[in-house]
Amino acid sequence: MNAVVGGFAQNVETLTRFRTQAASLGADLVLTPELSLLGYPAEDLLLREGFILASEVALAQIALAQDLPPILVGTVVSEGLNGLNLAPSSDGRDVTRAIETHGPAHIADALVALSDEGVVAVATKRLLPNYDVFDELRYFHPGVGQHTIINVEGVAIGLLICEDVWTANGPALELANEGATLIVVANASPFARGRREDREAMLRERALETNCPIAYVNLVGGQDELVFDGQSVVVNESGDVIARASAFNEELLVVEIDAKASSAGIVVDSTYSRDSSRRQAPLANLVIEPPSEIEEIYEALVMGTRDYLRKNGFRSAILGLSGGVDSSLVATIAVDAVGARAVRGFAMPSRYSSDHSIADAQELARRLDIEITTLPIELAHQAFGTMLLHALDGEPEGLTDENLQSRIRGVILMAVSNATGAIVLTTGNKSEMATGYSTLYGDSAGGFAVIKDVPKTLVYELCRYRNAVALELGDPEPIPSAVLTKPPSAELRPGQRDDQSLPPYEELDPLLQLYVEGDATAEDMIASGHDPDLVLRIARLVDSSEYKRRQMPPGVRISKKAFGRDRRMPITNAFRSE
Amino acid sequence: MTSSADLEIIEHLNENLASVYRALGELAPTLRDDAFVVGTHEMSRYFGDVVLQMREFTNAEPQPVNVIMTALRQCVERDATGAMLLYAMSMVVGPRLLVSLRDANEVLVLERARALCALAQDVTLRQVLAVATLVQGRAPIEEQAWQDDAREIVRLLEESGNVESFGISR
Repeated sequence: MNAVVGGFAQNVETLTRFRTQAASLGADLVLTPELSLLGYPAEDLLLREGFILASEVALAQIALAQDLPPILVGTVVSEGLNGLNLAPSSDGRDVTRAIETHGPAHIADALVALSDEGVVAVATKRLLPNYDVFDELRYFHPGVGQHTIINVEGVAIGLLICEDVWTANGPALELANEGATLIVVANASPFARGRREDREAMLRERALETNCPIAYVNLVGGQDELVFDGQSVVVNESGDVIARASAFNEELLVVEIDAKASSAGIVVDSTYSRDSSRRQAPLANLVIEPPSEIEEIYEALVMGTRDYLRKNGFRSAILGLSGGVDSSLVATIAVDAVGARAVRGFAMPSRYSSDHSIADAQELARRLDIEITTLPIELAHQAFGTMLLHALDGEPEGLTDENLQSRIRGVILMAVSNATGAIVLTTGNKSEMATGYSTLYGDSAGGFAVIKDVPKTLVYELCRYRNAVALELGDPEPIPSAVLTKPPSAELRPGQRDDQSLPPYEELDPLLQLYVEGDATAEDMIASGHDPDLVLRIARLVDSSEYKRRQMPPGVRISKKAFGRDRRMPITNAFRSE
Repeated sequence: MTSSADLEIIEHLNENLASVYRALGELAPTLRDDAFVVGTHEMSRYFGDVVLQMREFTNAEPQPVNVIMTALRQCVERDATGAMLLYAMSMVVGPRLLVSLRDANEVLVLERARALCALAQDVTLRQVLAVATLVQGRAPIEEQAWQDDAREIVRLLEESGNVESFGISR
């Protein structure tokens, strides 16, 4: 399910639509992702009384539906619902939600079992993650006491939420010990490279530990910087995958699960479940082959971009086309996300732009079938030079002049954005973002930084992947080969190449991965055999660029440690790891 | 949004609904399963009622949407009993119609247009649900070939740009 944060009407409609589909296929129970009613992560909206009240109204709307299968809805609940008790926050703080009119209440991340007879049972999340992109201790109280087991058609179903299932000898085993014969887990697990493999390996361990089949349902869709990949999965008690939903696609997965009969748990009764003749499943237990890692990353970028635009009301996107590899990839992703008619490119050559770059940009636009407008920046460049003569005691030179060109382009794109309502997509990659190889208010000016978590070497891989997909489909390659073979250059001075300012990307990216994603120190990297001068230079570049990174637009997270919520470094920072 | 925009949106929705109506009506008598013949015919009539009301509002004869007609016809080519056609109505075409109707409902201004949209939502939901009654008590179809064929119907719509819905305008 692709939930919209705060989009209660849309989320109720989506839940009802899937519940109706499930009914049409005779399902006994519908499981939805973590916080499917509110969207995830709702962040400080969870501190607003009105937001919590709206979620309660939305839950009541779902409860009104008749003659549909029981459903497990991901939502928040306040202490007191169904006699619910919550523990103090696990770090001792009071996370009482903001008080408007109704007095203090503690909330928990919950899974509510609903039938047409109302709320049948409530399960609350026990383990609240507070690392990486997660801040759950800020908002929720952990559930305590006996676990929640419901009984549907003679199967004792234990309810867990996301983090609860990741711990060995934890809530999953406790549930099994309390009599559950099937475990269902509602999740909002964001995409990162290798995450699906991690999940399925963990589920195998839990299934073997508990001797129970496990149904794991995951959110899908983009929410700000996060992308949820779906890929919901069901494993049997041996940990073998018996059903898997597709990646980056909102869909209903219908699964027949062979679980041991048991009388344990709160019996879920409804007019629907009393009519056993409904049961049939025309399309049960699909096992969709997972995509390759490169396909996953590409699809994550497409979905993240599409949902950012769609959920924030942008109908079109614009970007600068330099004829380089970064803008070529971003344009291609944008076209795949929102269609060629909604994407417009701008070639903005300067006195230093090469003829082949302009030609490459035009060729890309032709292949993608997008509109391209050429706006030479020479007049503005000259005008700024003249205007700055007095302030600079001469013409702008060096870096000042280079960045001036980039900023003129930013001004042009933002002007078009103002006039048309289109969002500006920036084209900086993670290698540039890490080392500060970008211009504030220049190439970094815009609304969404599509590839900000994609290292430069991966940018090339993604381009080659996308071209290969096109060839497989019998379509022309979207990215001209010249774009992939020429040396990277910002073309802000005569003969400029990236490798004059940065080490070659093949050397830079592995070191950035160690330093940024691996949290290695410079000493660690030197000790493991890397060139000390290079390591110290890169560490300095990364550390001193924090002030720039804080001002970058949001972008799609594809790694396990992206800049932003994953890696929170102080801007003012005198510590140097050397 | 203006009333002319409303008119265009309803015209588009009606083309989708009319395609479902026509395809179901055309295919119903060809199905091999008698219960499915009757059920599909009735389903067609419910959609037909909405189409008629929308046509009165737009004063335009809805043009068929080829991809919808093709998808539903292919269901019957692949499974003559009609089970795949019903599957497509509950899992493929019906949900896309519902998403289009939901999206349309967010931008429609005229009261009558919104009422027609709500009616179409109600009818579509009920018809998705009606599949349950039609197939109740039948064994699940777990043959890989059938499932692969069913995925092909999904792919057909996805490749024509209808990944989540049929949109709200042409």
